[in-house]
Amino acid sequence: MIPAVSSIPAAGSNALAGISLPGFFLYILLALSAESMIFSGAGGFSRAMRAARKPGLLHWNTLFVTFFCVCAVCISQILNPWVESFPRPMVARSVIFLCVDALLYLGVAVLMRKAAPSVWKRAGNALSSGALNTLVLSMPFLQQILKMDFLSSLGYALGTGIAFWLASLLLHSALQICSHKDVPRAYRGLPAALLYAGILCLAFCGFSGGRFF
Amino acid sequence: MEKRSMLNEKIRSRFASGSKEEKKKKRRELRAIFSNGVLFKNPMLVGALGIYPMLTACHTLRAALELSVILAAMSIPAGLILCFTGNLVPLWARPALAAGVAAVLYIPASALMEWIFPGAIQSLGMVAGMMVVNSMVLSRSAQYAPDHIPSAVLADTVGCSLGGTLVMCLAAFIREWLIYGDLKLGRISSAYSGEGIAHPFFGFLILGFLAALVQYINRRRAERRSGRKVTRL
Repeated sequence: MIPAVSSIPAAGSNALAGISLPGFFLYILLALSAESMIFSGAGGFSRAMRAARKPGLLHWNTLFVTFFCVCAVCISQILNPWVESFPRPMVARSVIFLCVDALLYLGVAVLMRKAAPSVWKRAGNALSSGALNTLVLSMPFLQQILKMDFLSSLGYALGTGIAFWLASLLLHSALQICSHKDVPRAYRGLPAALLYAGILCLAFCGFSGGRFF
Repeated sequence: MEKRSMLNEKIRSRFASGSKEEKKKKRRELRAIFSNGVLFKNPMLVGALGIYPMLTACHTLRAALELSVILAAMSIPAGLILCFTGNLVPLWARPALAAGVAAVLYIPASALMEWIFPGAIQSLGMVAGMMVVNSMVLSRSAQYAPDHIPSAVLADTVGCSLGGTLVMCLAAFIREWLIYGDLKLGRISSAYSGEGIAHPFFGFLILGFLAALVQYINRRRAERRSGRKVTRL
């Protein structure tokens, strides 16, 4: 995913500087296609697989991933300049944002348990996997790497949430098809689903214009 | 909840008794836990857990070893810490505790990696940073560790780390051989760099075939145990 970034003008950089609203929509599209963290970046795949295995919680998973991605973008907008002042910003960024993410998870969990116990009972299991995953933690990194402005980052976070939902849906149907009795027993289930994901990922790599051969 | 605590009691009492026969049984069970982590229930190959670094950064043997150092340096202490402290917090708060512990452990783990492989954090970039949310580390420490005794947790985390290392090294071995035509431990490659088989899709393909191999081995083991004849087609 990252190599293609250099070839695409970042909304915060020269080409789209000052045009934030198109940047917002552009980054939604990018998160769903060439710069998709899930499809071409392979991030958050195990969470998507987990969501695909529990179709009843799929919408909740998507909602939580999107919510925490947006929160991560908002927090990183505030904290990223401070994190840059650390001697090893790459390490500091992971540590600080994961701690903040964990606190946010606790806050949302407490709120849900107090305010909406029935929702917590139904969707509580999806909260931790929606909050603590590669997709959410990648937001502060990608905001820095892609040099996105705030609105573009929000667009990217929303696009990532939609991409997560799409990936979970695709993997759900893939797991069902790959578990069919006609599939060789060694490949039945997860192995065939991984091969399917590989081919899907290859197709998305085409969007980013990567050379393969 | 009651069922869960009964299960914990059962597991703990099984390991607590001290006769010779039971010690032997305990060793056997620990070996089984360890080998499950390494191969038979390898989290990467059976549950697709923590596969992100393997898919994106394991193009060279060096990168795989760098990530393996972080994985081991985080998952073993995280498992042991959660084993002792996990039961002090409610079930719903454990993921946050596991994340906090992983975040703190990442500081020495990344320093250790940088000490063994200078320049590793720079070359791995974002992928090294994402190791703090590695689902293998988080799920094992939040879900498995609090309900088991320390020796079982140690066997599990060491087994899982070794299993993860094996998968990452095997994938890196195949990729490096195909990309460069040889293997060099000093070769540095950046995550998300390179073309063709350095892309994550090839990682998925390798992982799919390895998962199929483990599934085949597990099926043969199950058939051998049940004493059924295997029909060769």
